[in-house]
Amino acid sequence: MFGLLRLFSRFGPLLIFLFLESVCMMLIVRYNDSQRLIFASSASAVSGAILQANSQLTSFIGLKKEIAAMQQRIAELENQNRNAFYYDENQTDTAFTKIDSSGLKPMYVFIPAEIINNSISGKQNMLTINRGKKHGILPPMAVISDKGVIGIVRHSTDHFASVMSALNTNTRISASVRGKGYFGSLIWKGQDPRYLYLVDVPKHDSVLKGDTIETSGFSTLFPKGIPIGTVAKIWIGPGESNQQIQVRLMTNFSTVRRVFVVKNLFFEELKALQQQSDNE
Amino acid sequence: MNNLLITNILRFILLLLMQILIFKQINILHIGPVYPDIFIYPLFLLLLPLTISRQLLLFIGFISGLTMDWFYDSWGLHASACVFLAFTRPFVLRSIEPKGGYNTTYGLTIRRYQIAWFLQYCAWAMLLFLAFYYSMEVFTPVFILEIILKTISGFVASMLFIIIVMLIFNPMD
Repeated sequence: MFGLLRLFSRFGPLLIFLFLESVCMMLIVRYNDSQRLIFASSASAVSGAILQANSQLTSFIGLKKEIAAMQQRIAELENQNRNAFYYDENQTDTAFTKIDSSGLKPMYVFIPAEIINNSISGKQNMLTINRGKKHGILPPMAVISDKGVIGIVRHSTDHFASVMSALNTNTRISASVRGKGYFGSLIWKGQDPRYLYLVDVPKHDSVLKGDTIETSGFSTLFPKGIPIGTVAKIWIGPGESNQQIQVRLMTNFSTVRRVFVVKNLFFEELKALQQQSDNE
Repeated sequence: MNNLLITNILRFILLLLMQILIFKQINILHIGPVYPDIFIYPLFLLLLPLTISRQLLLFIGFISGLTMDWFYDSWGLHASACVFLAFTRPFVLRSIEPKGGYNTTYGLTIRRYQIAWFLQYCAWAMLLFLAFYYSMEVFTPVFILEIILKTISGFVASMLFIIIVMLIFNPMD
């Protein structure tokens, strides 16, 4: 209180001046048309700038929520992708029975998830995602990101699942060259986390540097046509019948966070079929 | 003291009447497209006693400005300029202080000091007043040229009539 009095005795005239001037400003803006218009337009310019800054700030704060919503939307769109469907068009009696207009049955369902633990330094790298049995995730299911293959689910608990990364020397993913149809297996040699190797491609298949490598759709886990990477280097070792293809990954495994788990609705059926043929 | 109060009130009423009955109506004089406004009522603030406190001066400026706004129908415009003048008056007085300093019992008039000093005092004060007034009237720095032009023309016209009025009445305090 004493400090306030001292402040006032020192700057009293200035404070009174500022107070009276602000009263005058209010009067001017309130009761004079031209000044009011000028004030309104300037004020809206200022407030517009402030509001924009505010919206930038709040949009940054809400980014996490936004991303989750976006990811959900991507999952929905992925579910509508043609490669996510089972083609039911070629029935033997199409001429007589009515089939549903699209002729498509959903085959793959995409479940959004987030990586909560990741490693790229070891030989048998594993990831953990924050979705589990409660969300319908069971091993083995495929895990992809928006840029490519991430791995295969190995174990799942109620809320979490551990994923065998593509950067794992035990992982084998069936892959093909986009637009050419040559296929092979994608493996990791345990060294550079940026490169995978496409093996078992015969040396007479003309794969070129820069070709896109995608999932082949031959496995029961991955839908067809998910991009993985581009061909970086091709060579044929002495006395080998297959060519070695080095694939530069599109996904940066050290920064990837948002992924989708791919659920194959026909998995049980395909598995039963495989078991039958194995038994014979 | 009582005498001073009555003098100043009468002076205010007189200047107010002159301002609104005569100088508000005059728009014959013009320099090109600019019709200069003539303001003589700030003279009231300039002639207030030297001993008046700065706070009181500010309030008197505000009230007199509002009264003028009432007649000009421009709420806040004259008041803001008057408050500004009241705020800057001590600084103007300090900057043009005569050699012997001020005599606190004297009024700030031509008869007490020299006409040269009074002209200087009046010129600084009116320049500040008019510059602030037209800044508030135009209200945007976009028309800075208009503000300057109006200030200069208004300054010439106002100074002329202030000196005339001052010489006619020639008050002591």
